[in-house]
Amino acid sequence: MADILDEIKSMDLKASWLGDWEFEVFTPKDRLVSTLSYLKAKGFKAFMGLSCVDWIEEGNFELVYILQSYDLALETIVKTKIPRQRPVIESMGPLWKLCEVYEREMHEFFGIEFTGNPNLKPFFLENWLDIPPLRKDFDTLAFSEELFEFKEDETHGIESPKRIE
Amino acid sequence: MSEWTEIVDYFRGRSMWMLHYCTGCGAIELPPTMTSRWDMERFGITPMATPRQADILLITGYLAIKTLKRVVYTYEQMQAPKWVLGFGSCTINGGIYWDSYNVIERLDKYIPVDIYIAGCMPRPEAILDAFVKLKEMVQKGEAKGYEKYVKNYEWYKANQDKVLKRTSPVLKEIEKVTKIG
Repeated sequence: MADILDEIKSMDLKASWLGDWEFEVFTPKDRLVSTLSYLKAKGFKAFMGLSCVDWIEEGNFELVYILQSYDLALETIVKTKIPRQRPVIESMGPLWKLCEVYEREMHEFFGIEFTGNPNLKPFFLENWLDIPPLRKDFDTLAFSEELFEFKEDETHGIESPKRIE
Repeated sequence: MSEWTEIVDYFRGRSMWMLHYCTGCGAIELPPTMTSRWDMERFGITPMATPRQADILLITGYLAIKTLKRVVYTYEQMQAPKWVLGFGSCTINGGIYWDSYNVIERLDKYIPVDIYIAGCMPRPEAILDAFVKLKEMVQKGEAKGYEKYVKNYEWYKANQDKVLKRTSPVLKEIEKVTKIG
């Protein structure tokens, strides 16, 4: 199975093994579609999920696509970074229809635009008017204090736990 | 306070129907409470499928804003007399979700709560203890949460609307934050 990694490296992409059955690939934003369709053609037909990491100091969002191959018994994690200021990227709907659902979630929680996805309506949140809540610059404690009026005295004398930043 | 009320309260305490509606993680404590090991039916409490025929509403854990809306609908559909039991720390002060953006902190701001059960989550013994305590309170005519709701309806409604019917962003300093493209 090592040859698939060599092949990816020969395409001028960073890739490394994470374990016996898993490797990660870093790809620039403009080569994401070609990388994913290459991997799909190589046997990674199953799209397992899409998530996002907010690297606020760098000013980037990192999109993480997880694919699996049942034939090769391998998993791959494809990572790409997009700027935080105007997060726009193509929808992977043409490759995996399922991806559109994950994109809808990422749109709601991080505010990322997926061009070509027709269904970016609100998903889990109801009547949400603030900035997307999983961005690191969204202050959940201030939001909670303001909306739910949480006060220290409501802890009945018990000190509230320290927040992990 | 006539003798009739006392008699009615006595019988009310002996036949309580619990609405089969669960939120959060406390739901997992109810199957053992219902089934043969702890068997809550020996106290005259059984599940009921519809809110209109139920007497007890269990709030079994954290309430997201979305769930709160359904809980308020459900509570208002139930016919008086009705009682609410709050399970665990999430209904008391938010529990581990105390700084979460979508989980309410105090349940009794939105609907009146008759008994809170401490724990995260309370064991079936604690739940049965609460049922026995509720039965005593009902028989003495002390559990009057539903009357409190009618008397202070505006206050409860204002609290509910503040969370459920937001018309502007909660955090005012939105300009400071990056605009979405």
